[in-house]
Amino acid sequence: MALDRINSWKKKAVALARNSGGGRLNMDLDIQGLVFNIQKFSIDDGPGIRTTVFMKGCPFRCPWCSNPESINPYPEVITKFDALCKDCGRCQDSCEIGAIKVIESLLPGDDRPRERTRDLDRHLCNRCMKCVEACPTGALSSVGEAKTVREVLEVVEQDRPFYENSGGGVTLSGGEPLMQPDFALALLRESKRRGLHTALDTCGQAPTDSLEALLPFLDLVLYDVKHTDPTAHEKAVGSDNLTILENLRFLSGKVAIWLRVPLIPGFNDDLETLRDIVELAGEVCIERLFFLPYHRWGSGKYPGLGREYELANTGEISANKLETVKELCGSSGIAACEIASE
Amino acid sequence: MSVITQTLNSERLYRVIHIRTADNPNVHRPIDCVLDPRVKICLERAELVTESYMRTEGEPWIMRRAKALDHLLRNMTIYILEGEEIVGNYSSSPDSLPTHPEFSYRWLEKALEDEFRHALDEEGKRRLREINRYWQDDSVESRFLEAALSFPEELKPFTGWTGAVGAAWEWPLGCMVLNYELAFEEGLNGMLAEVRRYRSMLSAKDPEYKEKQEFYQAAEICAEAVMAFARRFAALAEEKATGAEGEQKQRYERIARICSRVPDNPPENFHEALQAFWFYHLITSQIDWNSVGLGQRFDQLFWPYYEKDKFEERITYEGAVELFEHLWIKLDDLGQINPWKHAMLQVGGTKFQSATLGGVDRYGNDATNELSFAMIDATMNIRTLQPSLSLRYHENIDPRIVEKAVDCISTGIGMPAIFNDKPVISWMLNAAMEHLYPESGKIFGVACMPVLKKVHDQAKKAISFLPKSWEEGLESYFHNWPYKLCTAGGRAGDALRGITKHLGIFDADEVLYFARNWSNTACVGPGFTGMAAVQGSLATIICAAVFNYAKCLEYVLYQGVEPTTGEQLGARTLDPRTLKTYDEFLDAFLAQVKYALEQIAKVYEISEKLFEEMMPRPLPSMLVGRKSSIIRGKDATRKGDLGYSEVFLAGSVNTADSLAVIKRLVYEEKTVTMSEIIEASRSDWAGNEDLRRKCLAVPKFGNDDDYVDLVLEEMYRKTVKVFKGVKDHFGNHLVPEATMAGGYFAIGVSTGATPDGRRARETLSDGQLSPMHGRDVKGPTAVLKSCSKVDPTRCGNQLVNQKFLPSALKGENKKLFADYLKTWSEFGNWHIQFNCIDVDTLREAQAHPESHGNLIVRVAGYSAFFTELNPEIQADIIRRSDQDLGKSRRC
Repeated sequence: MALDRINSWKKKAVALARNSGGGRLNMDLDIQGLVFNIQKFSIDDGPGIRTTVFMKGCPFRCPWCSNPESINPYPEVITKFDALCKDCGRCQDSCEIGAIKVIESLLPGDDRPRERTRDLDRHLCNRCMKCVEACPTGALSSVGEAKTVREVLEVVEQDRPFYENSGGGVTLSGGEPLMQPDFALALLRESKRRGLHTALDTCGQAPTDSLEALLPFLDLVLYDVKHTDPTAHEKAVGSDNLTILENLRFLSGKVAIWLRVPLIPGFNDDLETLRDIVELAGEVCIERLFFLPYHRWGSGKYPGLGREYELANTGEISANKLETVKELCGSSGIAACEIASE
Repeated sequence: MSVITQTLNSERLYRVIHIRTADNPNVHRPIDCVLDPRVKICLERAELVTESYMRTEGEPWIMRRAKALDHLLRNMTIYILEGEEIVGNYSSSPDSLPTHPEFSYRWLEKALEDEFRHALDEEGKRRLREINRYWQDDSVESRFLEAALSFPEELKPFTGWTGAVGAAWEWPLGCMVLNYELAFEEGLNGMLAEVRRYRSMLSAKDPEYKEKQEFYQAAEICAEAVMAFARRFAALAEEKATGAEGEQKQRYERIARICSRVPDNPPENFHEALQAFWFYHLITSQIDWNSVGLGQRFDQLFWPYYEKDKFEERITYEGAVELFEHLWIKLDDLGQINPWKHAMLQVGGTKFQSATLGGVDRYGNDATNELSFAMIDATMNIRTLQPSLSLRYHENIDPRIVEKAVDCISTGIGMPAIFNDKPVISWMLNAAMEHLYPESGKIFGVACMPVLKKVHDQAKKAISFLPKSWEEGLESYFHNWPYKLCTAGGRAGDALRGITKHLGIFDADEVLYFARNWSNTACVGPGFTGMAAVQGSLATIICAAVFNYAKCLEYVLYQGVEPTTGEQLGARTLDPRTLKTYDEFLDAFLAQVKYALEQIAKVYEISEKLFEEMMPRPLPSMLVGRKSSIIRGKDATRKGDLGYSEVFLAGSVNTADSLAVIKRLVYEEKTVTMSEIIEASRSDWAGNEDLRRKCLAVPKFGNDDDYVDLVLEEMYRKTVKVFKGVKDHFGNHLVPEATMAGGYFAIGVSTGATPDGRRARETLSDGQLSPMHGRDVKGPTAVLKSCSKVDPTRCGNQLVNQKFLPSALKGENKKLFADYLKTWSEFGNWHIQFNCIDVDTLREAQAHPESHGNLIVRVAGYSAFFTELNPEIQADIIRRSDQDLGKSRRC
């Protein structure tokens, strides 16, 4: 009896505390954004052990992208029919517009259909995700989920003891976080309010205003520079790099910057471009400069998203090239200039 | 790194047993043993022991034991290999293993027809059968089988492996931890003098006069035999020196000099200390008795000798590393041929010899010294699997030793395992209070021990009438009381402790020191350095050790009937379909655990009494503890200090995951019925793939999900209570032990499908807190967070295995890894060890992606789940890892 009463008091007190605190008035907590992954134990996205929040949507179409699921600014269906489909037919039944089709391929020398695979017609698909719900095997899954700042930070806070010991925190990455400026701002502001170290991984293609708005809540910016020449840049990724360079100069001196350069064979791995990039790095105020050698680890994700991997025939950066980059780093005069490797 | 140790090491034959799934695995016989066909059985030991036993018929067992050891040590073949610095062998040739027919022999005769048929030729097999004829009535095994005839019917299956539990009575692991500090300080001569002194003080009126007299006499015989053994090596080395030249001649002379001094006299330098240690360890753990475990803080034990040598400029750091390498080779070379039931646990033939380093000293300060580094260096140079290094981590630890440890781990050898001083020390104090022999209390500064214990027991009884929640509240307030007794209370507490120390009834500093000096005895079981320690200390490690939670859960589903054979092996609990709530279901599970434990305690009682009677251990008894056996005049098997009985656990995480499935799907969401779960488990999910996916979708341990983590915590907390309710033959309660060494594989073969989505015969999770493989998909930080919710002082000790790619531990990441460890230690978890992901794992993951969803691989600034990569990229990673790991023997 007495215990029951104590418990009910306790409940009331907790409810009161919850409702009267700052949390209720805090508008940031309920702002929604489109997130496709929250990755714990990220050790390559800034100092320490971090949690990286991957946000969906990107202004560029880099053919070497290793997170192609990040590009479209809306939730998508990922298909893994080849590996996981058990041919139960539930997805077709659930699809009201008939976007899922069965392909029966005849094997030569045999008159019965042997292989049944499925395909998703992405032109028809309206992304209602009913097929994903119906699929029991995981052959269909969705990527991208609307989450509030509250939900995201609940996950981020789980690893707080690790941040405190390692100097880590939260990193916003993507896609391009600045495609969702309000969400990014709310998330960073709330993170700072809670005393987390914050970092922003950006390609720089965004209005300077929205970058400026984030500045007070940022400890570090991981800034991608792909090329110094606007024409080459436009040819490869779809738009020029003028905004990027402008924004870089804007940020210079206002916040700690780690410059990151993906090393892509045939795009920016010639000596001249590399020299230009190092020179650019010398002009602005940065903490570190990284070269990230090209890898194809993301290529497996392309077919499942109905995309084609254009760099299928591109090899890795040769050891000679890496040697050149190393030399360049050594002679650059930048204190921390290195190749990020395994 | 020295060429000599490298050669010695590479020329060695691994004399260990491996296991594989049996051709027709069934619940009672899941695995077969495999032995390198080049390894032979050496009959010399069996012959000499039998000879001696024949001569001593009619004498008391303790004398027969001592005389057999004496006969062995004086007559067995000894050899010194070229290049050896530390000498001492246990069988007649470097490629053979001795056997112990006085324990048991029937399994070996049978196995020689089958899996070990290459180990002896026909002539040898005939000789062995002849020897065995003598043991037909007089081995422990024979006596046990005789006693087993009169067992009640339901107890009979428990003499073998039931799938849930099995007793280790055939081949006792009897781990004993000797007090080397004392043995070094006084020398064997000094100890012998003590024995004689106490013997001379013995009064004929003593009611136990005869027994004590026999013990002292046996101890004297053993001690003299050990000295004679050492002298034989001195003579052999001298003889060899005359025929040798140059460096090798010097080496022989050095060996001769050392072996003529130790272990009789206190060692005077580092080399002598190592040799003395080796003689004791070799004889007590391999020649006299085939036991496991080690439990010494090497860096503390040998430090005074190294320090002195270093000061007098007789040794360099490199020299110490090289001598450790020699010792490591010796330790790694110990092996055993044993019945499959034990091979199941000791897969890879490990003898669980663990060398502890780091930790705190008497006053709680960092105890790391140069030898700690030397130990790791020796392991990195020589890459032996034994001794397994255990680093004691604490908040003030030297960061350089952590860095060194990370270097070692990143070579892929999986060592050192890291232990957390914070929970272990308080746990040790609990164990000390619960298991300290009241008479010994005084030696350890707790004269009030019996009183304290009584008060505690009475208080426990007194509160039992209170409502359950009150009782639990009080319990958690007084939880961990021995530790609080030593540390709590602020200034007032200190003052009180000062007074009790002055009065001589409670010396908190001494007690704390006692706990602070712990070392890892075997696997993850901590022991009091130099005290008889854990794991029975006695004959069999208790209850044979092997206990399978997952099987107990199966029994709940089938009301105690083994589904594959129809035998009633578990308790007849209620029909699970009639259980209304999750709590009732959990109670049924606990009832199954209790039933299995009680049965095994009955078997254990009989076997342990036989070992106590027939297999006393006078030599280790005189060296163990603070002379307590000598003072008491009784063998340690008659109950030593802190000798308690452990049960090795398997399948605990699978069981917790399964309980979470049942709790959520059956009792909370009510979307699945109990009948469906039973049917799916019985049919190994055949035709129930949808249900299996549903079960797999329920949160799993290791992902920082409170729901399942708390289910696991509750289960552990409650099972520990069940353990506390079952007593061994000394009246001590059983202690759950987190380790299952390699047993999770074999025990998995014995276990049917479990509701967590695991298929029948699939491997169980390895260790008490390692998530089921492939189910921890939120990364390494989430695993630690999950573990942090389980308090080891309440839920028993823990074992966590983490897998990393070696490259993740190099360069800049080393610092991050150290930070990761720091956070781990703050969480108050018990143990963590890092196995590197090797090429085989990657290949396995390529073939079976479903059970390796947690493998993370990294490339320049990018990490991905291995199973989600393209086949070509996977192949590429495998190729690279192969180069990376190079020639590492095991990962």
